[in-house]
Amino acid sequence: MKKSLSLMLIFVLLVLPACGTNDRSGTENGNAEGDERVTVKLAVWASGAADNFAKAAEEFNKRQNKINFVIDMQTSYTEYLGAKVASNDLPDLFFLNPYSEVQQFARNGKILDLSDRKFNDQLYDSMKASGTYESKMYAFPTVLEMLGIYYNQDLFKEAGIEKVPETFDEMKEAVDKLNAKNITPFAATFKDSWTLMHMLSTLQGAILGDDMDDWIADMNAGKGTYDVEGSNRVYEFLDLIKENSGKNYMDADSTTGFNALANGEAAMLLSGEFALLNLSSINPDLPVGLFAVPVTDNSADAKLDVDVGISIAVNKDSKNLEAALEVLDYISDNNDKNGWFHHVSDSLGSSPPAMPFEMTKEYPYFKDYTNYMNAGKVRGWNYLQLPSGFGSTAGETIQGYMMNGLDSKQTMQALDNGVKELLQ
Amino acid sequence: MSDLLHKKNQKFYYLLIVPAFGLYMFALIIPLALGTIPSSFQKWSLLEQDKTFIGFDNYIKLFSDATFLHSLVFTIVLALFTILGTNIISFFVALLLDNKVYGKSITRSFFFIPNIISGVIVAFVWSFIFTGAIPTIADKLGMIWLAELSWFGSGGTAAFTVILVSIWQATGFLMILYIAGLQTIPKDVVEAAQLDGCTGFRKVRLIYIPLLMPTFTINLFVSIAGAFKAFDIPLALTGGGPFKSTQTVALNIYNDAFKTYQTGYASAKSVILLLIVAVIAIIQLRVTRKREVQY
Repeated sequence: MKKSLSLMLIFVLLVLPACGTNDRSGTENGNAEGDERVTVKLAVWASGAADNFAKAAEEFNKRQNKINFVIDMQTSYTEYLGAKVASNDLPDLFFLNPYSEVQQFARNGKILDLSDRKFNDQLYDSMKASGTYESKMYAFPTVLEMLGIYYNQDLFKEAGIEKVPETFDEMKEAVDKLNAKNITPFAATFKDSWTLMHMLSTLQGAILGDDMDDWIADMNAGKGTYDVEGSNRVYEFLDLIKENSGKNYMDADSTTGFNALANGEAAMLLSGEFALLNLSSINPDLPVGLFAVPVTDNSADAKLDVDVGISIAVNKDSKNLEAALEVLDYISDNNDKNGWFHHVSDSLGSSPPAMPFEMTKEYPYFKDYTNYMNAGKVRGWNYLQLPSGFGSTAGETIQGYMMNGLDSKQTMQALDNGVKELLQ
Repeated sequence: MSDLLHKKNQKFYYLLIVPAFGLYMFALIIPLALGTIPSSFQKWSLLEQDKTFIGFDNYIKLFSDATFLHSLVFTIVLALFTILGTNIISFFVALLLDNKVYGKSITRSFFFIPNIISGVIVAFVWSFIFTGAIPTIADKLGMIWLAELSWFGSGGTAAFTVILVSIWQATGFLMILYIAGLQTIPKDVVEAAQLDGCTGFRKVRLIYIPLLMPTFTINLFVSIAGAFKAFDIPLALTGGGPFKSTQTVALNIYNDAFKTYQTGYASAKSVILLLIVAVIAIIQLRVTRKREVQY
């Protein structure tokens, strides 16, 4: 009897769910009275901007009564996207990473050619490549993101730093001045690897300079390497960050690091504007400026890393194609004073459109960004143009360097192998 | 007598397992036979439509994949520590709580609570303990070495956090099973042993352990399967970091399948994991079932 009981128990236990997460929390927010309306869904990945998207969708739903525009936020976006592609059940509109991911979806005939939409005339020319495949536009470059060093202007004043550093030597001087005043120079975020993927992109971009496009082409052809002339500078910069990020810097994740800047516990943070999203709830009046990462001895190399952070694609097989395109027109209208961009881009820490748009609010970092843009001192990101999925490999590898588990040569070797593996 | 009963009721017994077996077929066997195993022989990206048959290439590749092999080693280490840790702790806690202890049910609940909290929440709480609470308390006590210990800064310490939190979470469930097992042991057997002078640890070794063998069988089975499928705690606590040092096989498979979309390759890894767990489970079942005693 005991034997059969235990056997039966084993059978029942085998039915217990296997590994895997089940954290799909599609939060839908639309009008409940959508009886007469066609529902158009935009799938987005989880971020601090989700509330702003929902407000912008609400505004659209208030204006008309034909379409119910719904934001569907997915916490495990890559998993969701893969499953939707495999089951041929993509939402009407969905977020994609620019460049390689958009190109892949276009190549597989999953997304609609948007070359004839109005937004094409408005986009900044330099940002069109992010959605282009075989000279046609396949995704709307929704927002720009800017990677650089965000700094607390008050702490810089306190340390006697009069102008932002433009060369590596000036950077070291600034760090020394902060240390002399017992101010922690850098906020650490290194328990997360995605922040390190951004960091590598900016540092590598600075030493590649004008050769970046050729280098990307070489990497994608399987014959490039991270070990280029001047690459030692990347690792010297990482060493500077390592030595000046306070104690236990590997224990701090992105939230901890973003909060450290917001609370004035650290003077600088190498990240993107999204790092300031929670500033508005912690310390909205903190004067945060922005400068380009100074990696080399030449101040002309100090360019801000600005690129498209999110693209929106339209499902070619959407049952409500007309309605989906109407929603996309609303999203991409930069003359609408109370539309999508007003809700999504015109606030602290949010990302600006990839087209001209008049902001009503002023922030020091945004002024700095505008100056870099006007002076043409900007550069694209490189990791988005390498095989899709490489970002997470890059972040994890740099984590190996930050924890002193790899030296610079091994790090570059591992990065090269990571790209090659994805090219197979 | 029991054998006769067993024969008479055999049909009824089979009927009892039909619902579970049906679910098992539908949720595990059919997807495995029609999905995972065929796709492990294909080069297939989840984002692409075309699947090419490549024979055993995925299997050949995974045996030279350093990241996968490291995740396998880490999973085995994690499994050894958590299987031993959870079973030893839960067995002794169960023994303790089987006696007349004050506040028995409250104490049992406390041990069981970690098991019903989601792994992700557990990991966040412990993240805070390791990076916030411990350094602050250590600072106050003047224990500088502890305050400056970076829990997530090296592979070794990060592995320790994953092991500790996994044990903390899984102990309660096994404890409940051990308590249930202890309650099936007839009182007269225990009393007879005590009258014969068998007390203390000898009583545990000679009476409890042999009579609890069916429970050991099940508990070992549950903890082995659980340890080899470890996913949520390493994901939420360390993200498999730093530098993939605490990546378990399940996490490695997940990254391949849903971050870089190498679906065929990830399927091959899943098949290997299935084989490893199946072999270990079969050996374990044989060994512990042999030691079960009838009374």
